[in-house]
Amino acid sequence: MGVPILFRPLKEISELNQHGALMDKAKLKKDIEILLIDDKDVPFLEFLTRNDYHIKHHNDLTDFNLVKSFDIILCDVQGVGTSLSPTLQGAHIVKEIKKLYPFKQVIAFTANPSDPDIVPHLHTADKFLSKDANEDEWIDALDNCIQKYSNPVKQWKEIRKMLLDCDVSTKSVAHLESNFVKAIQSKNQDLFLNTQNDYPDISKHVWEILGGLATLIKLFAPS
Amino acid sequence: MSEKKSLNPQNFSLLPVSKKSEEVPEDGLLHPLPGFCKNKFNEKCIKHYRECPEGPSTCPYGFSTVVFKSEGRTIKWTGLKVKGHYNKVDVDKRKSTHGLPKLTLEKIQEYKDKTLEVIKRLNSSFDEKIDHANKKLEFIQKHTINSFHEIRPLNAEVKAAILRIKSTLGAHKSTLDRDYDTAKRQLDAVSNSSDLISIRMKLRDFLINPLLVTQSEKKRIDIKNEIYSIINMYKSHLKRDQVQVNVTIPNSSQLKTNESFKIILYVLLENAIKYSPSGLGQEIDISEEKNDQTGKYEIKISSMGPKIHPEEMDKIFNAFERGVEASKYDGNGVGLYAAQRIASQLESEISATQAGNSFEFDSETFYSTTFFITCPYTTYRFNKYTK
Repeated sequence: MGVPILFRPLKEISELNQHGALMDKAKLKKDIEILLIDDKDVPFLEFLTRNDYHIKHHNDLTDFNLVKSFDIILCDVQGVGTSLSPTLQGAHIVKEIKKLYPFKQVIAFTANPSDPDIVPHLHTADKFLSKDANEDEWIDALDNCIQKYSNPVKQWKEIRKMLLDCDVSTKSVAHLESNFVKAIQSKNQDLFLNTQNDYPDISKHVWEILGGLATLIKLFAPS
Repeated sequence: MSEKKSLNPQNFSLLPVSKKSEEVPEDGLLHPLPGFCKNKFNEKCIKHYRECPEGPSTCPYGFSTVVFKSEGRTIKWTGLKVKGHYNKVDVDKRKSTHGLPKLTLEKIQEYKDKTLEVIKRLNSSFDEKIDHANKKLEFIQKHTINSFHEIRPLNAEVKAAILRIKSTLGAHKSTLDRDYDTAKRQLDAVSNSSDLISIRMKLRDFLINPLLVTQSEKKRIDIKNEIYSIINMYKSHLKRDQVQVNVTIPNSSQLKTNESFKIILYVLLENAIKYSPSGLGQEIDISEEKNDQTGKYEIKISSMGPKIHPEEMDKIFNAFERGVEASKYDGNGVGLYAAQRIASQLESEISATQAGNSFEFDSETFYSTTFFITCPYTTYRFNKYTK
């Protein structure tokens, strides 16, 4: 029986202000796993791989558990996800990923961005590109996403909002924040993810979402 | 006027009309109006046709009119001689009506069913034709959309191939010697064309779906960089036409706006390049102005171009409308329209002026033309590090 959580000294997210900026860009690029979902060959895949992005290409997505281990998702809006949603196709995948893993970065790309069935759903992605985007646009989009994804402060602020929206008490949010900071600082994800029993007011579903943060915390661990 | 027109029985011409006045209507054929009737469409007639009840009645000039209603449709036959329902004296005194057959109400009833049958047949034939036309239109639309849908992946293939070739070229630079520069130049030209395809596709996207204008990512746009990337796409055109672009915009100028703003710059710069007379060493000047008092930031693109007549000034921003002089050049009147639409969605505005400076070349007069993009000052940012 340790010190009751109420009396443990709390860490604040501002302590990580420099963390994102101090990350080694080359290491980040190496560590960040990108999932590409497209039913066709992607001409730029070779170029991006040559530029040290770690991209795994899947022709479709039928199980969202596959997404868990990836940090960034590149998803075609047409031709994939037809078994999950025949009408929205890839747009449905994008929407679901952002629902299940709000902190993962999703780039949607399409050959026809003006398709009226697709446009209303494009804003759910963090960024969208047309299929013939040039090399600068692809790199710009990926680097931006890497930067946003690896910024623990920004990420936590989003998570904090989500937790409060899910009616998690402010006390629990404060303690979770402290654990998150500790996990990043000590590069030990267990300090955050193995504390589930301390928070009876957090539902299983919310914990599942928080569980996805493992990939983010892992980025700060020594290679 | 329109009421008169709609009452004119000639407008029933969807139905087969007998050519000969003496012909007895058969198989639902309608009888033509006597020439007399055609010339006498007046207030009295209009009132009669508006108010004539179902069944037989007599028109102000003595002819019979028969009205029947069926399946929500009112059909009026007129200019007839129906026993007991026409003014024998008035009608018979007109020579032109002498061949007009005398009908009975029973006969009219017989025709009614035949007429309805014809109408039904015609309707279904029209429906079929409209259906066919709609299907054809749908096919064309689908085909067009699919074609566009295919252009992007193909263009992506081109871009990826360019990168592969560039990489291979780079690896053999030392052995290729002067051929390397030539190949690199050619490859750049292909790359520029591919970028132009992309930007034109974007323009089309914004036109088809204006929602995309504000949904495109909001970011800081380096004005100078953006202008230079457009100039780069037109490098070979500028060289061929001996047109020079002078950009007097500081490196620090940035706009925080949607990515779609780039399309406005593209359209205006492309127009300036397209309309500049070639082979004369013409210049396009691009500058900026910040006005603290009006709270506006302005980008100016000045060049020599064809005359825009004063009455055309507003119209050039309408879809498919071009100035008389500009129509002599390639184009479809969509660029400025799209640019203005994007600008208005981004709380900006495009305007144009033409000053008195002019010169004549190749029997055409060119005028000093300036296009302005005016944005709210709030979107404008200095980069504090480079100021």
